[in-house]
Amino acid sequence: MNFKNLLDDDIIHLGVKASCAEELLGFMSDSLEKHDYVKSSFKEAIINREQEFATGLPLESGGIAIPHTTTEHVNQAVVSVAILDKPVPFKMMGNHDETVYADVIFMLALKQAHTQLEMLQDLMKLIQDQDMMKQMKEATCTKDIIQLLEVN
Amino acid sequence: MPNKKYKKLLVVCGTGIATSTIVSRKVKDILNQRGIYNFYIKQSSLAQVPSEVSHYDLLITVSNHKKAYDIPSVDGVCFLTGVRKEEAINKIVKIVNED
Repeated sequence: MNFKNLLDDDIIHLGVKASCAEELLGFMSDSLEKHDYVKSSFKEAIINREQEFATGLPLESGGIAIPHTTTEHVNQAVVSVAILDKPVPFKMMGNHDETVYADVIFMLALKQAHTQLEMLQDLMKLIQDQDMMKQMKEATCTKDIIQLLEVN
Repeated sequence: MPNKKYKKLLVVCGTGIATSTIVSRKVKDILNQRGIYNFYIKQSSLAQVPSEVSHYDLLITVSNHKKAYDIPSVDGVCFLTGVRKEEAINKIVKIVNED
């Protein structure tokens, strides 16, 4: 997989508890900002963008979300992952009338989409793999997640 | 075999950066795998659609756009989820193959 240099233990979160999408996006953004991956403007930008262009995706294996925003809020490209204890409602990408209950979140802090195209393609392949998604949800440490993303 | 008419496809997401990139690459690969090459595919952002749409034959949308345009459109979210992808592919193939 093409996740090399795009993953970091510090921004992979397991057993996350959140009551709503906004709280979750805030938590993940704060963590990215704390580790200097994004600028202070990232949090508001990603929350606003989620409202305007939702990223919930209903997969065979359950709901996920891939929140992202424009590149100017990002210092260094990285992918933050959160596995939730209980799913939170996101609006569905392309159809905001539908709700997706997501318990796996890939927050994409992108610098340039074209250079990260392979990673994005790999990510889409991964999320469509039900067995992989099951393993992601069963991960007991952040190293498990990194290994699943890098090796498979 | 006569040359097929060349078709232009526009893939639209919120910013024209992430999801439209994935979907346009995927649609291109799927069509090429089926031996279909008489098309041009470009990604764009929702904000750019009104000024570009008249030059295209088909919209593939990955964003929540309420406005209706004069050209056919296909929901592209299935290319991200894999769910009910065949339906969308069939619709795209039909439009690209039209004379």
